[in-house]
Amino acid sequence: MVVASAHDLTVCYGKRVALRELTVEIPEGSVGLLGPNGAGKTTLIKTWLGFLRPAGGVATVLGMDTTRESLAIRQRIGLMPELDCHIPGMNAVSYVAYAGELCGMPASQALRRAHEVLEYCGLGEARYRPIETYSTGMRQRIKLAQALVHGPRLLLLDEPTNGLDPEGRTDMLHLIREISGFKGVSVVVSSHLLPDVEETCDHVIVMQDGRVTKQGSVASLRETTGQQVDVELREPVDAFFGLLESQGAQVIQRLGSRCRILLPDSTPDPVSAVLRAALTTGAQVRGIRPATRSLEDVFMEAVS
Amino acid sequence: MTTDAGQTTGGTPGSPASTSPIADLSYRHYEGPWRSHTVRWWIIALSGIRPALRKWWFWLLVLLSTGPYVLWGFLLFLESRLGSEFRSVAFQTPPEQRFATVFLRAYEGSLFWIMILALVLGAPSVAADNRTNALQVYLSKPVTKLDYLLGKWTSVFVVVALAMLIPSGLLFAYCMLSYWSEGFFRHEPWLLLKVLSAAVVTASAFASVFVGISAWCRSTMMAAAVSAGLYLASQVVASVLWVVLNFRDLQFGNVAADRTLQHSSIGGVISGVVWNIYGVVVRVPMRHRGPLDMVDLHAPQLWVMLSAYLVLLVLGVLAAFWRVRAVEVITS
Repeated sequence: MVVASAHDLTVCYGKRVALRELTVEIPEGSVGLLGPNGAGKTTLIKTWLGFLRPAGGVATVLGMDTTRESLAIRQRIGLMPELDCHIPGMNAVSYVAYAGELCGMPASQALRRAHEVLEYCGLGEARYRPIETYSTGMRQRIKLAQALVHGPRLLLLDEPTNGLDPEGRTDMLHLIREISGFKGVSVVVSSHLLPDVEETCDHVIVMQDGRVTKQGSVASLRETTGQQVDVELREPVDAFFGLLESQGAQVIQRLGSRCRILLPDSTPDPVSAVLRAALTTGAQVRGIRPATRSLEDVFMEAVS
Repeated sequence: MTTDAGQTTGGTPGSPASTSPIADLSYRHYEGPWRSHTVRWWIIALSGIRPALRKWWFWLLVLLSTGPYVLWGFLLFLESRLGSEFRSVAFQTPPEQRFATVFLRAYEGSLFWIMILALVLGAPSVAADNRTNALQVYLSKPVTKLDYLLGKWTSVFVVVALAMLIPSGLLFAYCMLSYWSEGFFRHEPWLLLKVLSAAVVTASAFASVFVGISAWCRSTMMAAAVSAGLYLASQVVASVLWVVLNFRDLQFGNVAADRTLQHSSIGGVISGVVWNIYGVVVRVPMRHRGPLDMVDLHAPQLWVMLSAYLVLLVLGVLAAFWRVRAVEVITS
């Protein structure tokens, strides 16, 4: 099922075009929205929230049009904004309960949910402290709590690990992974931090200059073309590479004793072929595995 | 993960949820009732009203604004004890205008404190949200810009109106109970409505102006400084202009010159409309190169005051509506 989509969507800030005839579909689960700064990630999120009116095309969330049903959409989704934000003069419980009330929950239900969600987000002990006294990590968590309090079907997380230390970042990513993996909430993570997206998302959309340049599941995007294997040798042996090249293989990357080899499509078993060549030339193989691309490779390819 | 009680616990190993002492941490979808969208603005208003009523400074300012009402109530009490001789000095008004005059003079005495209260409430209303980026929180919920501003406006309006109605209500109750037999309601059948209208006019104007200014500021201090500065500066400019343009009249002791210009400030417009609501002619003692004279002061022109009041109301609301937005568009 598609939880959010855009078809030929164009969004402008005055004369500047932020999104150009963008077409994208967000499937259920966790989706990473990648792109360099200014790619249009936050603009797309704001359009889905109904904050921005498209200059052309259509954007939908949970089957509802963002221009006509923005209030209904906002009742069913949660936003964790990029910027540090809170309502001044409140402690965590009253803030999250208030957020629930703003979504339409009765006061008693909102208060009950606020306690539950704060506990879930790891702020149970600090729930009665004024938010002004919170650390950056706690502020990120409270932003998540206020987005979750009304039980949204879709969660939009804009740079969720902004300003977090390594431990806080790990905790936040665990939380996101758990929400999307085990709690039935679809999550869109907008970030320019590739490891965050790699760790939390099953599906990735890469944007640049207001357009989608690449999209697909993380597994499919990391697949390499042809039959590629990564080989680690004890020490580089030129005869080994020479033999493989004479058999039609291509050494496409070589870094010290590590290399990536592209074997011809006709090779029935690439791993056996590499091991045979090593045996013949006396090269000692320390490791061999089918090659995959990192998300960074995918990203660089998409934005270059 | 399952606890001894058979409850499912949330949290992958190492996540904060899994280390919490509370057993059932699993996140659940909310399946309870939902309230109608029409009350969202009231939720925002309540979030401003409730904390204000719990603050000590609110009650201090109510107490200070009660002072003039107590004073005029005391003068009424003295009048009833000392008789007509005291009346000739303190209440130089026709009997049918006596109570309305008392309320107007008490209102004028308390206006400064009411302005301070409105300033303390209105200046941070939107500016504090701007400072902490709270608008993104509000507007990412099913809340419209109108809901948000109506809520903020109402919170200032209700608290200010309440602060005005507490002392005036007490004075009204005193007058009604003390002068019932003297035909209190016969002389002043509309006084209660006038008292209510005065509170509504004052609270609405202050709420519009201060919320409007607050929406353009990113800090509470800045909003308070601009609001107070504008209020006082308009007062000074209006008074100076009035003196300059009526210099000849004033030189000859004619203080009863048309006071409309003198009321062309924020506070002046509000008090001018309220003066028209009470509809009294205020008599003040004036000495000019001779014996003490009583001079009649008439209310400023109604249509001018009413127009200016509506302009204040609309301008403040429009300024806030123009400024408040979910997405900041920066144009170079």
